[in-house]
Amino acid sequence: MEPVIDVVNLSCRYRKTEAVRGVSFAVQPGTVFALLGPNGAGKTTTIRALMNILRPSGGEARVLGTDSRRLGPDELRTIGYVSENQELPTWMTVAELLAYCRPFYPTWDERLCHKLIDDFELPTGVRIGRLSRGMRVKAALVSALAYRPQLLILDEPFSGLDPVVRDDLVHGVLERAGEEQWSVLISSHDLDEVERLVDTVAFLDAGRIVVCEPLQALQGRFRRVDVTVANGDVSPHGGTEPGWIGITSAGRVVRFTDTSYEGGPSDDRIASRFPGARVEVQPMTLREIFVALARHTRGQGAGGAP
Amino acid sequence: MSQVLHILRKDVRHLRWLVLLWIGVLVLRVTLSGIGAATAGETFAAAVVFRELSGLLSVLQTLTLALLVARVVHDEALVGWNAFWLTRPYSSHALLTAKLLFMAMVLVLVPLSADMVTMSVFHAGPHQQLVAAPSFLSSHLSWALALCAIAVLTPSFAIFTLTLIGVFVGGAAAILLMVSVAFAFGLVADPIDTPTLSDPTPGVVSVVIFISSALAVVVYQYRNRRWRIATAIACAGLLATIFLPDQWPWRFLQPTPPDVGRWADNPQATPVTIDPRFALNSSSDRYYETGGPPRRQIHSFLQLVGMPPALAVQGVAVTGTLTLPDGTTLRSRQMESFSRPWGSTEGLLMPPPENPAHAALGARVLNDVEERYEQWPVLLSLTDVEHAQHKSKSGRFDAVLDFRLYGSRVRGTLTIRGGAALEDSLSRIEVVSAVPTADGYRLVVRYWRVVPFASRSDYSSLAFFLRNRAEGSAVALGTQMSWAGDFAGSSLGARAVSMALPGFTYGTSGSPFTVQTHALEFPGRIRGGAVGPVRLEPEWFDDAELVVVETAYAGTVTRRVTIENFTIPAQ
Repeated sequence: MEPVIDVVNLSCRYRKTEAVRGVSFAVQPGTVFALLGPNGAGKTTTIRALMNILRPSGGEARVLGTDSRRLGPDELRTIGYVSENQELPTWMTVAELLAYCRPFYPTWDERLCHKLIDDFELPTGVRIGRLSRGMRVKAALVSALAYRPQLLILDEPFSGLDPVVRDDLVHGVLERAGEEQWSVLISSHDLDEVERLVDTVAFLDAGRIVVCEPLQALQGRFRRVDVTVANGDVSPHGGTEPGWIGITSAGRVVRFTDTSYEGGPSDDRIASRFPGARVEVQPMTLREIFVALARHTRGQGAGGAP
Repeated sequence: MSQVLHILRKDVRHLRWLVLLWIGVLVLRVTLSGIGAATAGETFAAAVVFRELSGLLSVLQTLTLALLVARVVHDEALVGWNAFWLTRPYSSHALLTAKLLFMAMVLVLVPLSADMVTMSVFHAGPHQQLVAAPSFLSSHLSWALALCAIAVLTPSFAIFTLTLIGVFVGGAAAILLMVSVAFAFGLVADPIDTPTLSDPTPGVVSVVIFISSALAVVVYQYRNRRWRIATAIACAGLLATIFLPDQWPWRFLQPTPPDVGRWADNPQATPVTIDPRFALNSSSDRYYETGGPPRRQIHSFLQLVGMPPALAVQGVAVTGTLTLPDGTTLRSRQMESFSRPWGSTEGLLMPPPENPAHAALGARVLNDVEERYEQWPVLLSLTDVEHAQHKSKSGRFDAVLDFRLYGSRVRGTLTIRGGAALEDSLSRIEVVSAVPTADGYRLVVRYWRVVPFASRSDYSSLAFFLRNRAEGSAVALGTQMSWAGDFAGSSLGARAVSMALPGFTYGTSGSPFTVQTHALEFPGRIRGGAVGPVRLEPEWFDDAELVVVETAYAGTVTRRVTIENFTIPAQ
């Protein structure tokens, strides 16, 4: 199947600053793809280029089979977009916003719209300008979901929201996306919520993709390793393995992240580097992987893919 | 189309209070015009209050216009990345059409209707309204599109306001710079003014370029959202608007110069007489005007013989060459003159010329106290160095003299009663009120005229007389109070400039519909001094009529002269 988003060697610059440098990734239909990275990594810029808000300086991005530079009303009718920075018409009430959006979308589902309003407990008669930030995001989400988009693009939609609202939205949006087989591209640096729902993650730093692979595979190969040496010699015999990052030591304990863990063979390699030591290998959460990668790439300079 | 209407409905709904304010301001202006029409000329205080209120409303109208344009454009901002509409299935064509429709309806048609209503208040009929409409339309369109062009290049109202201020300040700075450069380097093309018969071609070209450029910026930005390129288009358009009209080769609206009449056809019958007593003056004026060195100017009293009495010389443009015996030639070209009270030149026995307006009147003006002057046009202009080298030398002087004439004609006569009117297809002169006083009359006269889009003001002036045909006498009416206004409110440009440049007169220039109201009286005061002690019996006024005399540029008569023994005065 053709990817719903296919990005090849995409670059974007703001005057002299190159915000995105040769990024490539693909979002498969019916999957949830998370674009992760610290602030300023280039996530929003990438999404702006995908949505034809910003003109790329190089490379190509195809969205629903169309060159992003030619993305027009026909394609936008099938794309739902919500961003933390998006300006809503604050002078409208929620009901007015939805009534205004409705004629733009032939696939607008009034029943789904009402259901979402109920689920999100949105006050429809209140002006958007008077709503809390969480409520505004909900209003934006309803206006972006009610027409059952083929592709949902969410740019940091949950940042700055309190945990309860965030949980509501994650359940309301990403779970529904899974049920409805929508394709979703979400950018975030709040990872706990999306961890159990994303299929693929791409880690972006300083405008480059550091890692891009299915979450399962990523979590399968990343392990936190704690080695307690008996004799106080924390230096590994014969040096470190290429996939080990973030090596630290405190007393007799050496800690690092193994980015290419394979089970038994990896255990053997660790044991051979630290003879007689006690080795503890633990799976990592997405957040821990994210932090490990972020620290590593900052230490290395961007682009060092482990 | 449905999307266009959908967006348009949203904009109208969103901006309904602002639109109502806009309409309210326009209604207030029309109302004020009506009140002004009824009270103008009654008292000085009323005129001042009316003028100030009118100015205030103009400012309010301009501000409301800017606010409306900014709000309607920024509702779907074209600069920036976070506008709601950017990720929604808007057709850029529909969005542009909706915005232009809003502006056409609210910012062009509504004020145009107000203009038409205002004209009606002054009894201007459908024909005159139709003639004035293109000018009003272009004016409203220009300002709406200019503001729109700035709005499409800015993301928010705050940036829009700052940009607007920047444009005005930048414009004023550019004018200042150009004037300074002209002063510093003496960049004055021709010291001779063109006759007061202006060619409307540059103005029309300028308006067309301005509107086209602004529209191009708006359309480009809606289609492409590339503000840097759009800004470049705007700057290019602005420069073209400023510099291209004067270089425009095809003067398709150049008016035919007026014909002075058959009397000037034969130079032998109407020669130039030059008084051989030349005088020398030093002039520092030209130094300030052109940046050039101080000049010494040789002038002489001269007259064009055989000129009809209803004509007078406004100025003489002289292009002269003095050839000295050693072959040296001194050339100059200027239109300047010195004046002296009539009769101050010893031995000048010619009778003083009659005022052309009085001549046209065909009656003796009883209260004529105007002084007559001898005009001494400059024949040759020399630098100090040239004068020092050649003073007291004689030679042959050849010159081409262009006599710029102005003439007067009776525009019409009216009975002395309120409501009497003199109307043609483009103007109307109306007696608002005529009140007898103890020894004369006090009249309030209103004059409006319509200037069609493709023509310019002819700079004519009106003078008012009371004339008794049977007696063969008349009296000039002194203007006690006079004021003018572009009631229909089209010249936002003039207002904008007046706001930006303090001291610039809030005026009528550029307005297709101008109204002047004059409070006239006899006896009273006239420009140049108090009226002489002329007393008329009440019966004289019973048979009197109001005569309107129009004075305007009447054409140019060219004569060639040669003075064989032209001596450069030493002192």
